[in-house]
Amino acid sequence: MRPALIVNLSSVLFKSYLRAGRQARVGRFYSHPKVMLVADLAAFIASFALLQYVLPRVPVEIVELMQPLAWQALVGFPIILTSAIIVAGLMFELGQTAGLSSSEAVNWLPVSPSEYVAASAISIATLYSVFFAVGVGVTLPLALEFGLMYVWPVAMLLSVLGMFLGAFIVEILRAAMNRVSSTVYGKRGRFGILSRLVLLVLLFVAVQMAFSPYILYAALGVIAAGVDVAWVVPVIWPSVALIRLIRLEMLPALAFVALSTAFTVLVFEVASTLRLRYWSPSPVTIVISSSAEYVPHTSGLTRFGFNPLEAAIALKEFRALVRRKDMARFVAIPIVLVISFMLPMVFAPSDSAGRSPGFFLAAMIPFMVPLMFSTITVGQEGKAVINICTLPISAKEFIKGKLTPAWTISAVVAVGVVGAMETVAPMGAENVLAAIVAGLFVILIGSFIGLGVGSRYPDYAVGTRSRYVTLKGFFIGFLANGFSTLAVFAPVTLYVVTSGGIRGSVPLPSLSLTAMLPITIIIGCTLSYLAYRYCRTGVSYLLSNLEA
Amino acid sequence: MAEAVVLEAIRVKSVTKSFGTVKAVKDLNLAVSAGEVRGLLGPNGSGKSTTMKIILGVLKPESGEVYVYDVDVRGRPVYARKMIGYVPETPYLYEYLTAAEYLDFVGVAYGIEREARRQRVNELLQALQMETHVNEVMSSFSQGMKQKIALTAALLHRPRVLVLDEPLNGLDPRSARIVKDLLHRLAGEGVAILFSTHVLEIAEAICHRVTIMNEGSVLAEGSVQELRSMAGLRGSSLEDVFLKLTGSEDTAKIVEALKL
Repeated sequence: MRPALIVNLSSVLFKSYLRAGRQARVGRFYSHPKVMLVADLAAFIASFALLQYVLPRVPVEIVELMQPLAWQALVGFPIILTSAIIVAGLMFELGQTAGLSSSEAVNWLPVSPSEYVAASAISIATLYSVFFAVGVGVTLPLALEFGLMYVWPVAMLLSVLGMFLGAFIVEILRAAMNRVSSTVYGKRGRFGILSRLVLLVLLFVAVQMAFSPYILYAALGVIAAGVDVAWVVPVIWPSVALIRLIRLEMLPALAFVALSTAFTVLVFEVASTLRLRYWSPSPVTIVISSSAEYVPHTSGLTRFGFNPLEAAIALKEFRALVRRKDMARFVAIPIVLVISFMLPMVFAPSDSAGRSPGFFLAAMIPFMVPLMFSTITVGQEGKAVINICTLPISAKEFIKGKLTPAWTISAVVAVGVVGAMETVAPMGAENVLAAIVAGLFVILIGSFIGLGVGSRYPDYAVGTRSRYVTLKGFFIGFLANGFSTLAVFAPVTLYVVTSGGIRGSVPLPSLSLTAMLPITIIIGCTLSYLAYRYCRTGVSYLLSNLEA
Repeated sequence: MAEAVVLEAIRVKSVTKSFGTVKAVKDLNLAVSAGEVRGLLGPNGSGKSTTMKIILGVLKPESGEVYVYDVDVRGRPVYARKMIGYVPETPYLYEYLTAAEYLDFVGVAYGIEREARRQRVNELLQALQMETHVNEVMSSFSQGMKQKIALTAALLHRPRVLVLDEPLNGLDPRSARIVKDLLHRLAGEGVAILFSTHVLEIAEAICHRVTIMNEGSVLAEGSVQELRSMAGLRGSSLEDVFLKLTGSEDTAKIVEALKL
């Protein structure tokens, strides 16, 4: 292994991670590696200063209650870092397009697999070093407060080891995924694509859930309490070493530090071997049908009032959502939203009484989901947007075709969720009707605003963690849709509050639904028209001013 | 005796287009007749691709007019595009679609009936030896394969005007030959073809007239013979003419300076 090459290559990979998928200009500060140093320092100072400020102000009895938490944080830090790096590294990999990963020049340069794995792990660890910086900033004041300074330096060293362990595991997963892709997609065509989507969505949901505060808190307790029995699991060895050190059992502590290091080296060796065996830089050929004949198809949407071109665009959009692995995260978001909302109800069921959960979801889903799908629909085209712009297509056809997936997915999720909530926490038929009417208006408005913003501020950089819309566009869309949602839901919210309250009784004169629903409809119609105008102007501009 | 009426397929009048402070096209005038193969030559960044996108109506010029068969492209871009087939410089296709799905999409967009679509696509794919890849997802296609699909898509609706931005890029010799012959035939049938290339032998072989652009303006225009006369290089190749007209003829000194 050549250390100079590893350092050099890790720097190159780091820069490419930092700049991938963004139109980052080399001159911009955030596209330079030093940005990480500044981010790390800022994260450390912020978390350290916050705890240093808060801890002396917390009543003594509460501070005493915090002692086990500090202990858990220190012991759990290495394994949390390992999982955080695995999750972040995996997300990065899944967000990458096949083209980006296969164009790595390193594939045809004289670089050995172990040199590549080492360099890649360093770059991944550096890229996510902010997790470590926050951890240092949080654990240092706790260690100072609770006299754990004799453990703290070792905990930090083991955490760095944990980061690298995570990064090496990411390399193993990358090689494994490459192998799976080659076999499954090459042979299974449509089924392979569908299985990939389901797996990716499940993975995204699992990852999002893993970072839910409820689950994180529960996991920390389990790690700290279960370390004594789970010491046979190698990933836990750094935590076992720290527990032994806290108990001043020096020899076992030393043994587990050595074991942790040996395990990390072993994982590195496995990662290098797998890269050598399974890495194939060329994209896999996915065969959808074994037939070598072209048979024309027309989308079934033409039966639902779509002209053939609108139907063809809608079908293309659905295919993009199902087939592109970088789009799977967007498909997962509605599911994550619903589960995130349900989690508190599972952890604290007593809080879920009354009409609030269903009503809140009825506003939340139409606010988030159509806006997200419609905002990204232009930018996700990437350079291929020229294919659409050069076609004989009108703004109206473009809007209808492009927004069909957003409308369909949002309506199905919104109505489904409100219906499901009705069985868990019943709101009553009248409230369900009010929520659905307001929700459908918000879906319409949000999708028009989203496409209007997406066509004015597209980000065509397709690649790792692409956002497909500029930050300015994102904020404009988010604010405009936020205000619209509030305006549309205001009358029915007033009705719900005054007719029994969100959580019981409110001393207000009751407003009837027959008065409030028409107001919602009037506001909804007006805002839908304005949003449509905004959308149409943006799309017309896009179709005649292609800047991709 | 009545003069033969030459039908103007593409007319670009005093068009100017800037990107920020850079003037990509300056006061450009260009006319391509029906049945003509017009070569558009110029160094990188000379404004060829921008001109083509303006003709397609996907870029709006600051000033000037563009007509395709008397249809004002700025006013009625959708109608104008129905007559045009376009192959971009780099074929950015929808890589998550199969070739069949992509061609279906394009065929529907141009309003081609199912049976006509089947016949035409199979015909073109066979000619370009792509029929066995029709149901493969395009992400694994080579540049040449993508180019063939882009060409098929451009020819699908039997356009009256073809705008081709380096269409032979990445094609194997057989396919390149087929495309060249096809362009000749289409021109014979009255299709106007605007064709950009860096391969000057190809331009010399298939273009009736050539327009040389540099820094957004037309530098010279005419048949290859006329251009030779303009450059005072009778009997020379189009390459020599091009290098002289674009002021980049002294390549020998550059190679000498490299000292490889």
